[in-house]
Amino acid sequence: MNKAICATTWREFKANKVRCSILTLLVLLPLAFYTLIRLNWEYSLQVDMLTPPIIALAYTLLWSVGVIGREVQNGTIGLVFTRPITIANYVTSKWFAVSFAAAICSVQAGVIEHLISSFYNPSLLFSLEFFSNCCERVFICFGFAAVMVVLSSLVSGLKDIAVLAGFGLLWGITAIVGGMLRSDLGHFNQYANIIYPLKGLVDLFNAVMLQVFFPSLSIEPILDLNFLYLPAILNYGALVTCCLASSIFLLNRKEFSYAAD
Amino acid sequence: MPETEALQESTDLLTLSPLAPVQGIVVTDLVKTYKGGKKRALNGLSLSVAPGEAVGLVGPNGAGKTTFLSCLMGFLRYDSGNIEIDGLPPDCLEARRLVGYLPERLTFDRWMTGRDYMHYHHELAGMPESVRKYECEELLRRVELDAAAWGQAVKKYSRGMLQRLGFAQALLSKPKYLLLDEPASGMDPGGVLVVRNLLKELRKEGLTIILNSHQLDQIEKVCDRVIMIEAGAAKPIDTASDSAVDTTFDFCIKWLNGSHDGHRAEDLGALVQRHVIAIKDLNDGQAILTLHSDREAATILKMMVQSGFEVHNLSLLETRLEKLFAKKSS
Repeated sequence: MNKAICATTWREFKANKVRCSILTLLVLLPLAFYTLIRLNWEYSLQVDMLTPPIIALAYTLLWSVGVIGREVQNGTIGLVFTRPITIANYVTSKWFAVSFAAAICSVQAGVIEHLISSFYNPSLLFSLEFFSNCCERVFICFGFAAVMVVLSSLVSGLKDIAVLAGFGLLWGITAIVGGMLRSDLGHFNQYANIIYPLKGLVDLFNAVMLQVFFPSLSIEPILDLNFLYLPAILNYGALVTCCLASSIFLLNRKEFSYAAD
Repeated sequence: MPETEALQESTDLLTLSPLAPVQGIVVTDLVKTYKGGKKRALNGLSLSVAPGEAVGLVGPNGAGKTTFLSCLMGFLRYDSGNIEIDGLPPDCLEARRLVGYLPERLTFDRWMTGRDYMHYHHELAGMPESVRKYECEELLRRVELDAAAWGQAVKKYSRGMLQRLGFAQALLSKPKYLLLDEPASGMDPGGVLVVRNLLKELRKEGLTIILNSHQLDQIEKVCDRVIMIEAGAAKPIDTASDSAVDTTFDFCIKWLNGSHDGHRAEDLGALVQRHVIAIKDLNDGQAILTLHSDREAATILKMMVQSGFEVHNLSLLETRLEKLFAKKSS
């Protein structure tokens, strides 16, 4: 992990006013929404009004979009590699910088929401739900940042958003197709020998996409030492490792020349 | 065999051993073709640069100079051939510690200040934090970047200021080898002089310099050796003995016209006739003299001053390298 690369990534974000504004909105909008609910629904004062952990995806996306691609596009990455820095060190530093920052922001927003809930109902202060929510946010940040790092190594600039949107669209289509295949085949029964393997493929693709886009771990089974949950932990670890390794591989194949082709 | 002879022999063997790392930069038969490119950007380029030497690269646009420097930095993967920097491959981390690089069109993180940029690269270079502020400021002073601009965002810098900042970053890691691609590009005349003086100082400090520049006078003033890169291959140029170019120099000499002794152009003709090959554009206050050497220019200058000419300018019109380059390019 390179301290200089991490610090520069954070400072670059700070220097970008658009991103800072969106980050502020990401914190404030759920608070405003929950305040409205509290004003209109008395029961809500008794429960911990926390945004679901999936909000961490938005924080991670904001922090990690173009994390490497922008440097490739600007041409600043070349000079970094004139220094004694390995590509692996660069990739892991970038990944850590964005995932750590996203996790901090996301958890901080969660803490604010929780403190407001606890103000109305102090018994919620040490609730397991809050702890679990925060842990899941951290897992999502570190997992999804790894996915974004590999997409950002694949394309230059902010095109990683387009790639992500493309995958999302594909996933949506296959989910719909999967749903259709699960229903009764009707008069298409004669094609069952083709459709069933296809259904298997679609289900596999959907499962992979789910793991890739929501690389989360529930904390409660881990706290309960539920060993049946071990494959989920392994999946998560494998996803992060594969993404970082792929990113290193992709950057290794790139040429960062100042010469015209 | 006496003991001293045996010792000498073993020392010789060690020197000649193929396992001993070669000092300097050695490039052998380098070939590079870009993806989809029809012709080779580098076509069997071979050269070697000894430690402490300054080598100038000249050549037309698209000849492969920047591609060659990019291969030296390990940015580009070459198809075949070999590069060794002190016996190390160019993409090795140890080799990167030895080399400072200034690309022609250096790009910056525009939000950073000049000082931040230097600190960032100082840290990336693995230099100690305790000397960071001092060393960065010292280098910014050395390239004569205005101190008021150090704290400004790089996006507010002019092209010349960016080039000075880029030069400073190339020196950050105290490199043994300095690869400079058009270091004075976009600089004002003052900046060009700063770069030239800096290069001379660095030479005295023992740095090995590879200078790619289209400013042939700068190359001639700074470099020991000039290599012409043409169609991806290296051709050494010997400015002292190359027969492709004539061995004369054209000097322009200017003196104050109508000075108290009333010297006129005809007086000059009579005075220097024996020392010059030809006198062109002779008029009151200015003449162009064709001479065999700059030593003769010194003699003529002395004679003119002794004869009461108030000489205020003597300049070389075209350097040998410029003549040679023009001849070879044509």
